[in-house]
Amino acid sequence: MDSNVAPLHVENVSKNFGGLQALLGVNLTLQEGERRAIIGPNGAGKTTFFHLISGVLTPSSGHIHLFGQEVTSKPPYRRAALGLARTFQINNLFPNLSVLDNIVLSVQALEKTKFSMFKPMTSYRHVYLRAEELMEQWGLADKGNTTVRNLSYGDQRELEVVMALAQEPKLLLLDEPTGGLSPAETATVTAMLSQLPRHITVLLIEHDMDVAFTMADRVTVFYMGEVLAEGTPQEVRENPKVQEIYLGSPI
Amino acid sequence: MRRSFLPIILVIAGLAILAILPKVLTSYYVGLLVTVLIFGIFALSLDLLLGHCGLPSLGHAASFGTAAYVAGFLSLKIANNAPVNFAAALFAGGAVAAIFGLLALRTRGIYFLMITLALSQVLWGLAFKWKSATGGDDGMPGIPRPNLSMLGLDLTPVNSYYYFTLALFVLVCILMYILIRSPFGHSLRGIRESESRMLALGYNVWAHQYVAFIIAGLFAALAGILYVYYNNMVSPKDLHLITSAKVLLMVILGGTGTFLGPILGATLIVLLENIVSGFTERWLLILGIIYVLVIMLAPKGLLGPLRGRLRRWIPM
Ligand SMILES: Nc1ncnc2c1ncn2[C@@H]1O[C@H](COP(=O)(O)OP(=O)(O)O)[C@@H](O)[C@H]1O
Ligand SMILES: [Mg+2]
Repeated sequence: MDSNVAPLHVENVSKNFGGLQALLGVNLTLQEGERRAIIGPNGAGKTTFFHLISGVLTPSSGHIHLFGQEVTSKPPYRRAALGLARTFQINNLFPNLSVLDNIVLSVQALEKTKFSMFKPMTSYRHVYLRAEELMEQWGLADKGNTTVRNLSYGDQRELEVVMALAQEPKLLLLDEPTGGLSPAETATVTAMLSQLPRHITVLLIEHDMDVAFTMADRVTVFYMGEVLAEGTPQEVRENPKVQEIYLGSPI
Repeated sequence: MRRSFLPIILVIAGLAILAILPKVLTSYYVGLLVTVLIFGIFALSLDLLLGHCGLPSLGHAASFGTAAYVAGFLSLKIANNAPVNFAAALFAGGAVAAIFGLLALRTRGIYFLMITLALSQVLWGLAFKWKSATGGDDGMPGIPRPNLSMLGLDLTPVNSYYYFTLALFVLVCILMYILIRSPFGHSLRGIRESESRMLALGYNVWAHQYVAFIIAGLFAALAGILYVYYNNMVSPKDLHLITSAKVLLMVILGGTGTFLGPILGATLIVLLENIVSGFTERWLLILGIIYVLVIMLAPKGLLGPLRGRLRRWIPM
């Protein structure tokens, strides 16, 4: 496939924070519909990489293309408009709003009417119908009126993903969606992710190896800000350098 | 479904009382009510920033005072042409917000507080020093009430001015209510809750905040215009930090983002200031004490405990 129309094409990207080199010359290209996992020890630069792709941070050098368009220094909302959605490693929701209002804001994000100041929000029926459909689909139907800060951590983690799905993304970045979840909750979220339609390209940071290796077509290993290895789950599992950094952990 | 008529009945009852009050009160108290309504508008405008956007401006008197000066100056020194003077003063108040917003919205939290404070104090300094235009410390006395004789209205009697102010107060309430219920209003609250999430969702956060900042400035300007015409004078204190802090306290006292809270806060502070100033000069000290008490005893404001129930009718 021509890399110019790849959902994501990252070219030689580096990021330093003052003296700290968080990322160094990272290259990564995703094919449409691909499921890619990023693994690597804490502090390897995985979340920083997501911040660069989504526009929270701009790279110190290198280029980022989304769907063939250069976005290296575009603000996050422009990247979202291209079809990018992301979740956050640390829950980033609207804690004092209801679950329904959280999702409604996601659904509304790419509607032209979002700047309207006159008609009440509730008159945009299709936005609410879509939000309710999503809550139904992902098991949040009975929690619509719950204020988000009163949700359990597991439900908040799930909402984190649903918010991103509500954007109807073409490329979805998931930052440790199962982080801090119990095994049962992890299973729920994993099932949820494996149901995602194939037209969504998924880039997933995952510390749970089982989840990473089952979900992904290909795996990229970050280590100290660099790509240490990339390949199929099988190739990565058998890579001696990877085995070395994960010494002792089952791989 | 019968319960949903309750707020409508309460609003109508409230309006009826406000309409009847001048018939039963002496003109002194009617004047006090005018001040309450004006500060109600002022507090509502600040609450759009504080309650809905999470932007704590400590310079909201900038738009209020600028509009007051412009309306006063034009009416006194050029011509008492109400429509032109209103429009010019609104424009001036909005323009101040448009300029200050550009500078202040680069910062957040305590820095936002400091820069809005600093910018508004610059205007205060200007009003204080530029004697030939502003009258300096003495301000500009003798400003006539707006001349609406072409509409057959004489706003000189306090009762007429009260109804005029009440009509604009009701208009502001309606506009503000429409605004906070709109998709734009919802987006503002999303931004208050998490800017980074709103950006990731695809919202141009800055544009929303900037538009809200200007709208808040325009409503504050309207309050300033009503204020200068009511008092027949304007002075630097209308631009001063004390005025900004007073309106901030009104919003916090009543409860941010609760719509009724800022109006309640404005009512209580205006009445209290009036009572207290009868027997002490230390109004500022009292204001400070109230501030501390509110933060300690009712950090969510007097209407804080009702938030859950109000949420049904008032998006917050
Ligand atoms: N905003 C920042 N300022 C300074 N250092 C940062 C910042 N964000 C991340 N870092 C540092 O960059 C490195 C990579 O962090 P991160 O991308 O969060 O790692 P990971 O997600 O792989 O655990 C860490 O050493 C972290 O402390
Ligand atoms: Mg991380």
